[in-house]
Amino acid sequence: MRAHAAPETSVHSTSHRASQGRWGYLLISPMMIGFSIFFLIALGASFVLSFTRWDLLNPPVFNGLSNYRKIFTDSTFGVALFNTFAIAIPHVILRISIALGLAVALNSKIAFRTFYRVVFFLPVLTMPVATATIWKWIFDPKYGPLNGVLAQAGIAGPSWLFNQGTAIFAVVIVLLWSGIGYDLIIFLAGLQAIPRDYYEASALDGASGWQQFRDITVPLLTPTTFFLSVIAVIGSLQVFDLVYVMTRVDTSNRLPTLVYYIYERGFEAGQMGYAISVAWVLLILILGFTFLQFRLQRRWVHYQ
Amino acid sequence: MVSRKINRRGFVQSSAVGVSAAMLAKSALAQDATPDASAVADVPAYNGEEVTITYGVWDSAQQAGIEQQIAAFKEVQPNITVEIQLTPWSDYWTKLQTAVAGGEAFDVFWLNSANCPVYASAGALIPVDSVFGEGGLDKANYPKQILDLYNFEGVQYGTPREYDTIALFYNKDIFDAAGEAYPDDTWDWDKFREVAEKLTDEGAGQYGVGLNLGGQENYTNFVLQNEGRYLNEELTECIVAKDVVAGEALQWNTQFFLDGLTPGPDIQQSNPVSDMLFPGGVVAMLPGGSFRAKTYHDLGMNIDVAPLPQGKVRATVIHGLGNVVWSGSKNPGAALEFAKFLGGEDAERILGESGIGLPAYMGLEDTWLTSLEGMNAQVFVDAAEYGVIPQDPVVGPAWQGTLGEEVNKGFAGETPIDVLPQTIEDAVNATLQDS
Repeated sequence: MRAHAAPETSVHSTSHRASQGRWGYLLISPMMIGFSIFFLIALGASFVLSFTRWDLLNPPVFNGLSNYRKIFTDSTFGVALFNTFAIAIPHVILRISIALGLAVALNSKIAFRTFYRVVFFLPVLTMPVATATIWKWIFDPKYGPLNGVLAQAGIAGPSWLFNQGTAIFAVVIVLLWSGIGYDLIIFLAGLQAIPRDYYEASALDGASGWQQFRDITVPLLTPTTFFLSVIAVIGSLQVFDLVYVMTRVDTSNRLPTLVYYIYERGFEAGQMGYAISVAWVLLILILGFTFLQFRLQRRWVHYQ
Repeated sequence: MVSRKINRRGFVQSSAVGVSAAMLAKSALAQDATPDASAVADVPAYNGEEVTITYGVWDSAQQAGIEQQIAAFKEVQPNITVEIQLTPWSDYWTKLQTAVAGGEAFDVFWLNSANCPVYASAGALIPVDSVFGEGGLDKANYPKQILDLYNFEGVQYGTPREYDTIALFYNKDIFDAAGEAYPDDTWDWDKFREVAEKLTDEGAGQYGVGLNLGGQENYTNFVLQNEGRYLNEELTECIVAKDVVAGEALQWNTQFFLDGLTPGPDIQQSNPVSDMLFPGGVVAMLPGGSFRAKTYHDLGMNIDVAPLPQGKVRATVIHGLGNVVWSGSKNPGAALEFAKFLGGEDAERILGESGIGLPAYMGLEDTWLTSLEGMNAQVFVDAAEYGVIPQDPVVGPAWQGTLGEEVNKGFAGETPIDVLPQTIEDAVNATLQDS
């Protein structure tokens, strides 16, 4: 018995490693099973369905590339694409710059600092549909408080959510209001990570506050800025709930975005196959932009 | 519009809109044909075992009445438990489509007549022919045209629940303040327009009329009254401009928006006339459906109702709501029992007494009228005499979406009114070719 002791120990240690591996697989399996069923299989199915005509009720019929061909001549798709970018571009730029400015302000020693941080973060915790409902009322052309205030000043306010230009403005405002708090927190964390010494050293050399901001804060925050801009671009290409709640009139929408258009084609017009092909185009757009951002980061993102 | 003129007593009258021989032949055929035995043979009869079935509905205002119906059903079938699944109207069709596709739909659910052909042709419904006849429901108790709303290619797919017509609600206080006589059955389009102008007071934020942005409670009625139709007989082509009269009616309707006599789509974006502005007391008149009567009655405001003003002919849209059984139901026998009960006199009486809907069961109109004491709701019942079923969306609902969108561009002043009919026609034709 004793003679077998040594080999047994080594067998034990191998099997221990193997069992550790098994445990690893076991522990990630809930995540992986969920990922496979709800993501991979759905992704594959959606790819196949994007080449079909399907109204959800009757079996899908294969129709080759005609969905994708149709996208290029579909003027409503063009409108949705335009709206999406008209919202995304100002949203990403303003969101990053305002959040950075606020973060720097809230990082300094001002009174009620924590209170302000909470106030700016609260909108992030609010349900988007609730947010949109309240803002819809604020922008109401006839009975809303915004136009009420404008009327006091002798200005006839527009139908904010009805005209494309003002509706884009309104949606960007709401996106900023509800999203800046998140970026703010991430920026604050980034600011805390910048060593104090840099500021002290530069102060000794006579650098002004603005120079410190430009030459220390901004460069050292670029990894954070990069992360936030990737998230913001993806998020703003996927705007749906705000335009669903705020800019619909009866059965049509004054400001359809790409994701709204996917929903409208698939569930309201009974063209699920076509809707899925639009979703694939959106996926490719998002992948493209994210890839581009990762390529460009080499030029401006500084890791310490 | 499809020219099935309907009469609640069950006649098909030759109509001013013109009767389609093919449609009549189809209806007659449907009545004479015996139930398709092969289609219903697959459904095993309910054997009395304990089951739970789901009932899909969209109107929360009707929940109490539906619960009473379910309680009454429990007395007849103590072993069948019915669970209400309420989905608001705005999400109902999305949810239903997805649930049918995903194999998780309601056992029994509400279906409006417009969607019946869509679901029946897709094989999503079980025929209910078996619930009629000996020991079941009697077809003679329902207006034949209401029954036919759920008849697809000669097979009955739903038990009738209620029907709805359109009439003119008005706010008596606004009329009294202006010293204007209330609307009555002598009104025509000119009178309607004239009073709408008188009662509009921009400074006070008061509108003479509130016109809905959708067709059923607004422009479709006037298109019918002008003897117009949206599509040709074969449902292959839009003829809003070609046929002239439909276009004329739409232009007449649009002019109310352009002249500010009704809240425009920009205001209705957050303040729909039927839900907000008319009950809010800033709109004097509102063409609206019988399904709104109970809500307005219970507001305790000074609201009454008159027939819709008439055009060349009297006409209103008539729609129906039926109970259908899902073909994927795990308890089809029990589901059929429930659908049968809902079409029967007891359930229909509860429906009428609760005021939530105008029962399709003939002779029960009074139960509904009694619940609306003080309101001249009889006009809705009378309107069934000249009600017209809107054109079948057999070709799919997509063209109706396009139609509504294009009409609304006219309301917003984005499409010039003189080219509006042609623009609508072109857009709808494009959608028809696409589907």
